[in-house]
Amino acid sequence: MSEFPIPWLLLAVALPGGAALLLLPIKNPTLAKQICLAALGLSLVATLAEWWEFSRLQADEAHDRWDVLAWTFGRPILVVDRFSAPLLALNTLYGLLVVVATMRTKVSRVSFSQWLLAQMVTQLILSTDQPEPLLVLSGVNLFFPWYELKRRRRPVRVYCLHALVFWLCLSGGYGLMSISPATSWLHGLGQVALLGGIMARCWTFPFHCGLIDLFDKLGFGSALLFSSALLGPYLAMRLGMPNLPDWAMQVLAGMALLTALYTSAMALVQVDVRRVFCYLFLSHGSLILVGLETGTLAGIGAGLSLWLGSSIAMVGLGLTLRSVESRFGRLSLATYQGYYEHIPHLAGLYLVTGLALVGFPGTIGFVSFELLVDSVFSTNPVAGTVLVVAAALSSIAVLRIYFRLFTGSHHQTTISLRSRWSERAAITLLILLLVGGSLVPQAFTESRLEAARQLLANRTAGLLGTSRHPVSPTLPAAAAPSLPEDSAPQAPVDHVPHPGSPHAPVPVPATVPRTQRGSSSASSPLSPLSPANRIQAEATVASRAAEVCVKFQELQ
Amino acid sequence: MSEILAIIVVGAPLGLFCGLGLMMLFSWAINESFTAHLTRIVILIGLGALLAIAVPQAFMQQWSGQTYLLGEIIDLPESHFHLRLEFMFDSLSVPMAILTYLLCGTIAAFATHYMHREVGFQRFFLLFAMFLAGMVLAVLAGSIETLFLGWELVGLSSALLVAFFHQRVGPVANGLRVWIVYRCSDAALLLAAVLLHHAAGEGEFSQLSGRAGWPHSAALLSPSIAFWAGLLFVIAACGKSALWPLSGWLPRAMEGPTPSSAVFYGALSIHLGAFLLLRISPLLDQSWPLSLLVVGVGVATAIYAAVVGRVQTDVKSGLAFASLLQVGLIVTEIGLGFRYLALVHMLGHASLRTLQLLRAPSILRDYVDLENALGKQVNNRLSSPGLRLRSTFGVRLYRLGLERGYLDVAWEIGVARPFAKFFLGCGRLETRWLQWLGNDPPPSPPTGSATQLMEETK
Repeated sequence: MSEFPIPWLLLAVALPGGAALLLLPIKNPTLAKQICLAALGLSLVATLAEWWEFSRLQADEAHDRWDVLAWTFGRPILVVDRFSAPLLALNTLYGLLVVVATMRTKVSRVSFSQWLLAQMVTQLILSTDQPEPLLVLSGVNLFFPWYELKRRRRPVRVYCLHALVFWLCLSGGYGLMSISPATSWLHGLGQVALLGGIMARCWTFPFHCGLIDLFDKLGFGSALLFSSALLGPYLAMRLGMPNLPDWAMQVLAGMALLTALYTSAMALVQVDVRRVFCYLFLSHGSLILVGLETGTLAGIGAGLSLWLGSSIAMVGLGLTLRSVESRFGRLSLATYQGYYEHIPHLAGLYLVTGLALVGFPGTIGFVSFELLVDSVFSTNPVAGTVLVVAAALSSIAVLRIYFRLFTGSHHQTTISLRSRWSERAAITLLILLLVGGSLVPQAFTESRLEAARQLLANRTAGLLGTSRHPVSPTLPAAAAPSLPEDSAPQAPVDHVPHPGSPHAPVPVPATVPRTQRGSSSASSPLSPLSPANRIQAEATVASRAAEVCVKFQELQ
Repeated sequence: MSEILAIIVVGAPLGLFCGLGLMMLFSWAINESFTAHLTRIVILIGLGALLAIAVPQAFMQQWSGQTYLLGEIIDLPESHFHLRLEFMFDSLSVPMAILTYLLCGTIAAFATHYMHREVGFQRFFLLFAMFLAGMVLAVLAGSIETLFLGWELVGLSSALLVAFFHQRVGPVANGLRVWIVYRCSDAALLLAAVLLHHAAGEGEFSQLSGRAGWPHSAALLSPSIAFWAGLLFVIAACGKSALWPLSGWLPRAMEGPTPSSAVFYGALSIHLGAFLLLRISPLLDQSWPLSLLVVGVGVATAIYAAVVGRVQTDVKSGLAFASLLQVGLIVTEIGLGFRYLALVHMLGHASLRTLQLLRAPSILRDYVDLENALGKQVNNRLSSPGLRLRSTFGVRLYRLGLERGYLDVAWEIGVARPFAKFFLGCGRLETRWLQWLGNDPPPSPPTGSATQLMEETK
């Protein structure tokens, strides 16, 4: 495993944590905000440096050379790979933007130390790939929204129920799978529980109600911070992908597809802006999940690209609505509000981020969405069609909000509501990211395809039981799904066994030649031909061929 | 050299759009004349470059056209996925592109005066530039993906320009309606593109239809694939060109400023669907049921527009339905296989309709001038057989026309209401479920309501 010469990961985690401790005795909210900004700014620099350094190393995984946690636990805890390397920077950027766009009138209501601690825990989750720390940290991460709800004296019952279901299913399922042999019913139960836990954290139908409740009761900024990191799909990739069998992936993909369609349609009939935003968020989170669960290289790559692109757009959209809300109060779509003349910049940003979210040409989401539709369509044409319909509904909802909020009437006010310089800076940065990102789609998408290749290799290793963090192998080695030719992992020169790892690096299984377009999708969970079935079919074809040969020889 | 010219043709309007967008983003104070001059200069540059490509091509009689690959947006060979910026200058695209530049130049000059001192002057020209860029991209597209890029830009600019006078509810509501139809059309086009990609492995028109060049090319697809892909293309064209049964949005789109109405719904945008059908005409040749469908849609649109257009009481709506009637005829010609006739019809009709729409705001003044010149009243009595209302059939037809064929009502009752009812019901269920789960009190009645007053009195 490669090493960072400077402990970027530790810095990215420790800076928000240290600043949170520093803020505890500070009562002045303006000063607290400034310290928070400084800590997150430095943390962003550290994560960007980590990303740059990781790209330079050309490694599959990397960790800090001077890792305090590794000395404590005897193995590196903070590790990034191709999948998680950009996510850290992105998460810090979201935190920073949320703080930047917090207006002075709202500063006194925000607990910056709690935001920083939540940020630290999210960073920790994103920088570890080991199941046990992931389970513990994802449990710890649930504390912050609960605390915020309590602080605001809002009901916590729905949130607690959701959190309990999620965490118990996830940890219980993983525990059962770890302790029971693959053939036992307990292992199957563990798989079901793990699937349930992942579905709950991905907010798929019917767990989506949990997020709606959270957005209703929590502050917009806190809800955005809690949900923007997309920890559900992250856990699905880390815990679900290497351990869940094909049927579970199929269920997850199907439920994600249903959620995408349902929530995008629901977004069209809502009158509360927060709720519409929440549905749009759910819809796009589900679209990403559909891509990730296709099981093909292109599908996972598309899902990962969309993850980066559309989550920037989603956070931008959320921040815009939050800025509008902080000026005019809770926003309703029941009537036309006509805010354009007061906040034209925010209206423009809303339009750009909203269109980027639905993959409009010229924005960062366009290529990712096209690739996603293409890969899902090749796997299952009906699923591809549903995807396109869901995106079309979302785009209608986006423009509906624009028209309802910013146009249709003449809003009168006695004070200036123009956007502040900090908001303008955040707006400009986001627009440049969203539009600028569309200019270099090749490098961006290729890097995500590399990450997808690594995730597919992890899945194969996990199902074979040769993963670094093995549960009981789901499939016998002979029946393991073969990777498509194009997804074979490229072992780096510096790839050495993980310290303390009982197994060698991920083996590369036999490849399947691609005889025709879309043949790689045969192993996809969305495809009717699962890997096990395919192997059986291949064996049948081989035996038939042998019979034909024998008959041919007899005839001769 | 010709590649540089092609880049200029396509890049000039895109540059104009980006430039105006950046200026608005950074709040640079720019005056009207700067924007107007910049637009005119860019259009002249683009038109000049286009003519520099087209004239030598015409002299050398290269009607099969020249294809330029101006860059790859993305190329992932291992995933068999690529998006190429490929442009085709052939006997279909070049006349349409020249017309686009000419009409947009005319409209830009007209709009400079028409929109003078209008609050949204800069916004209008930004959206106008977006439309021009989208139209040039779509018309010159050499691949289905490039066409899709332009198609989407045209759709967004149209919807936002319909809602241009955005302090009134009417234009905004109509803008949203236009957007809904356009998004359905976009979804169909995207699916068609993906289907073609998977069937042929390529999205380039030259690859799909051979090297013979338009209109002599033949599709290299099986009839069944040609039918399904063609069907999606027809749906896309129906949305964009307001063909029956998606014609309801057209008169509503006239809420926008007159220059945008002229360029979109009289001249260019409304013909984009027909242009798409011309571009995919090899698919029509491959599948006769598809051709039959296109003829049916064209005839239905023409009849619908003829009936409804006769009872319109304002000039812009009348012109909108007159346009639609002609578009219906153009589509019929395409379905019947008269490709050159359809192209010529399209170019002539676009020019005439632009003139009529631009004169529409001053039509009363024109009449006054005419009557002053004649020295008597103009005989304006209608002698149309459609207005003889003595028979029951005539009355019914009149009512049908007045209600615009009940199309809006049908869509509302058949699609919009059930959709809203179902999902509103789901929303109520979700709310109840959350209330039950969280043991939350039911939501309090709105402040100042009669219920609250009664409660307080008790």
